[in-house]
Amino acid sequence: MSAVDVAPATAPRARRALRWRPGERTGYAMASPAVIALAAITAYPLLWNLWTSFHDVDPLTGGTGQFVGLSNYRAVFSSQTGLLAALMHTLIYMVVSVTVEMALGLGIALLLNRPMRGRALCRTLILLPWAVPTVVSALVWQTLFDPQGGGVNYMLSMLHLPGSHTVWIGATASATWASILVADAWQSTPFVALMLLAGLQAIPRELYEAARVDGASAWQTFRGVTLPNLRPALMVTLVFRTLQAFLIFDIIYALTQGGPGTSTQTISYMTYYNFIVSDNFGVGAAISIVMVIVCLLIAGVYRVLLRPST
Amino acid sequence: MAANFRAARRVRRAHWFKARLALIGALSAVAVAACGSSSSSSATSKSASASAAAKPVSGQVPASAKQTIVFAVQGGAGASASFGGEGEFTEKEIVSFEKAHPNITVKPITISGSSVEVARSQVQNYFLAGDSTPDVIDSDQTWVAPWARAGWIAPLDQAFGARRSQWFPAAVAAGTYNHHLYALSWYYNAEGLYYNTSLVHAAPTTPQQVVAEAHAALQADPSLKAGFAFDGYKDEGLVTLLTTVLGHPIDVAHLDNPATLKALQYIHDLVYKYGVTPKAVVDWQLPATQPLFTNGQAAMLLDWPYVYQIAESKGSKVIGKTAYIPFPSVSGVPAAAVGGDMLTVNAHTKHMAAVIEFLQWLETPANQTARAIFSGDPPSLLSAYTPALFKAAPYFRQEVHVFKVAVARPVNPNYEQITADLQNMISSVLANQQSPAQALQSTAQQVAPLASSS
Amino acid sequence: MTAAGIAGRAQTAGWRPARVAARLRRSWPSWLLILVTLLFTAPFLWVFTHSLESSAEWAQNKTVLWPHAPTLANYRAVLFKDGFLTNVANSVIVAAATTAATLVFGSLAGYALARLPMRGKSAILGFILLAGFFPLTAMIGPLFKVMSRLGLLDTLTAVSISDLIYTLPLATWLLASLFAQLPEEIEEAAMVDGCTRLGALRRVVAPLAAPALATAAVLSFILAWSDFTFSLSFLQDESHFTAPLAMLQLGQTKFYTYYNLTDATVVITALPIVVLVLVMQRRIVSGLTGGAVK
Repeated sequence: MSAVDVAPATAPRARRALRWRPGERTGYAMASPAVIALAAITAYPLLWNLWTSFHDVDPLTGGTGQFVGLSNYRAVFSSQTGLLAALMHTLIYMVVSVTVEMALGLGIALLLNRPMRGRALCRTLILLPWAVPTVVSALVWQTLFDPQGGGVNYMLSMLHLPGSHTVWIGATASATWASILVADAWQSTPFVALMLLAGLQAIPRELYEAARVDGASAWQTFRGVTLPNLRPALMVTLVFRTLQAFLIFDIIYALTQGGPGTSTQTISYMTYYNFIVSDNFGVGAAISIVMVIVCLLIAGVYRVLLRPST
Repeated sequence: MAANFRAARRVRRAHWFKARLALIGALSAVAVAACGSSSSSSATSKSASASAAAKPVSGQVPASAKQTIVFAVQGGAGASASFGGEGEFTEKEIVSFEKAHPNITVKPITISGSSVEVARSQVQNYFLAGDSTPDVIDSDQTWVAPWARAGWIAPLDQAFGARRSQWFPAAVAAGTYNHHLYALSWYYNAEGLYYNTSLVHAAPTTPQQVVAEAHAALQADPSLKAGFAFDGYKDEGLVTLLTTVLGHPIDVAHLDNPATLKALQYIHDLVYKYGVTPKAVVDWQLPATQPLFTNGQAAMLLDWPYVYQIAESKGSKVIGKTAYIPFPSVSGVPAAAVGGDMLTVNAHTKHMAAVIEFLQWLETPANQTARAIFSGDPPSLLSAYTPALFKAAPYFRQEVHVFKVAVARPVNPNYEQITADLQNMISSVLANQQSPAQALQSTAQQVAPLASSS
Repeated sequence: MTAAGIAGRAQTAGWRPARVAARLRRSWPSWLLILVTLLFTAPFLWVFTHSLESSAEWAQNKTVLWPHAPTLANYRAVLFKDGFLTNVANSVIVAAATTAATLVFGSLAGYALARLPMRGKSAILGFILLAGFFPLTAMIGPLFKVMSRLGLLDTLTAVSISDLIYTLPLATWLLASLFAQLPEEIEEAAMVDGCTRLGALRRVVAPLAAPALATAAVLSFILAWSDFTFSLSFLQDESHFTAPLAMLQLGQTKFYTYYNLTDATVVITALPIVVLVLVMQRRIVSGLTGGAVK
């Protein structure tokens, strides 16, 4: 992203204040279709959600439509409504899944970076899960985790591995979270691997050569050459993955419905719950606004943490 | 120099300001347009709910005029590789209706056929936008009370009130809210107990006998996957399960009562004390349980009528060995939770007269009998159970006994939230996260305030 | 192959056990890669084998690795009896339209962000990126109302417009980064010759950035193809459904799920993407390498 903040100001400050910078108006004009398109799609929903979050809107009970100040927002952070728990679940899941997927993705990217035969085929096959629609993925994993004769238990028993009689979904919270993580990682790790692979391939060979000449070990090369140069790719991937993990919904809806009980409810699931199940639009809107703010915070944190050091 | 500088800055700010203003103006126009219509629709809905016997909206199209009515059907109308004839028969019914009424065209639109929650939200999008279509909606019975209170569906007392006694009583009860008839039962379902007569030798008459028979079956045939199977996945099926085991409607206002505790404890014990149901039950949705029974892998199954047809068809391993009775509930009465689809009418429809003709067509005994023979949907009209039907599909004889003792789920406008809380409760009990007593206590507090609103 | 590598290979040549063992030790990354690839592909294989299972065999409720009587009947049923072919065509139309719009809007915006001095550049880019992370459930109700008012319900146009939410953020960001990598002199030369910015973009930059545009196009197509939420909310007639939406309708009712039919639709829905990725995978990686992650 730093590549974009170019365009140095060449004129001294006083003169710059007098007129548009050359090309500035063209710039706005060129950027406007994209901005307007996105704004048109999101503006009304965003405004509607903002307005609704401050009012008691419940179409099925008629709601009062009255201004209720921050009470919807307080509900978001209250343990009584289960929303705070959902928020906690989501944040924990976010940390765990991002860590797992980044580590796995980096490993796969390093593997794919080595020249070997059939690399292109492997690259394609590994990328496929990401390219498949999420609903497809959720459906596939639903059949795979089926306790009687689903693929996972079948394979475990064929390979004589433990756990082939586990009821993956709906029996215990931990097994259910594990199945969510597996389904999510299957779909998202390829994306991480792809981005990191691209980053790895951007590192000039000469740096590796220089390290080898200096007698650096594999680990030292990794720390000294690979990681620092991978920083931009890491940051981009981290931001995307973290936000996506925060927003996870499709898999939970398709596999667990937030169960057993309420143990796998995430904040996105609660948005669905409030809008579509309990028709409490006020709270649903408040949750959405909170989620937007959290996304902004996460993006901001990453921006600060991973700013290039030079 | 400084003055020029300030003047220039004002000019620049003016440009900026104008640009921003234009953008905000454009967005606001969109917002106001949509907001304006939304506030008018919510105003209409409020006034509609104030007078429960609301009249049809103005601008009604007369019955004889040429018109199109829109019919939202779960799963769509038309032949499909998987829907087993339901959609196909709906299409047939539409075609025959259009032939008899050449001036009316019925346009089916498809809402989700696999998920009741998704279908509901799809239809609600139209209501929230204030649309006058779809005119007729193939609805789940749990949608009736919420929509009636919101004023989104029209009361049907005038056209159909006199015919009330022609349907199963539970079907009429499920379609009645605030003493008005808001939904007609289209086809009927009740959740009864199937058992494999070669494994279970006598019809169980108490819940303990159910357990005993399931136990005995498991001893006799260790390859069985379940003595007693049911769908324990976290969805509406859990609430029908509780209703069936309980034997009377769930008392939402006083959930924490001895009878409900007994029912919930029984469900818990099936898995954790008696061991006649495997733990995997928590991941069994309806599609998973039916093959268990028809392949002879479960001795008993709590399920809906559609299984009977499959059990008596080619490929089933239990042909001629299936029995279907009401469940002997913990309250001592045989019971079955009521289900099935209902027909509701959009309160803003402009085609009320044509809609009523269409509903009358769908609610003729001849059509309902034909539907039952073609696709297995049990009729909700009592007079549709004719000798011809029993000849074509003998298992309906057993099914009628189950239908007669059907128990409705709570008819409450807050039903969506109530059922979500109930599902959380039963799901956590089945997963042994909480004891039945604990779960009941905490859930009772959650649902009590929701119980009293009409 | 470095000199050390060649020397190492020579040392492990031959078939003596010690040499074979040494070869296995050296090639462990290949084995690991094969294992990883298998793990990621396994679910697809499972789905594929079960899509060849006949309904009769499926009803027997037994798990098999390979059906006893594999058949293409499911594909025939789904494509021709259920009209899934139409649904796939609809998906192609929507994804293509969204991709076209994304490429135009995205390259315009990306170029502006990369080249032109604008105040609030970060804000603009930030807005574009974050628009893609707004919770979808919160958007459906309001958007439905708008589409209904505009008479766009049950049209592919409504879905295509809404899909820009998925594609524009990623494409704009990608193109902005890639445009910034291109040398400025070429455009400057074109402008000295009398081109406007837009003309320079069209005539000079775009051809150079073709690989970047191809990458953006492929990613946009994949994202638009995957849409489910908007299709579910806006489309009413089964013949208008897109493939992911139709997939959930076919083979599933409240009471039973014919997984063999659904698996056939999964394979069909994934197929165009598979082909696309296969053909373009090198492009995707090099496009991302080109500058997005530098």
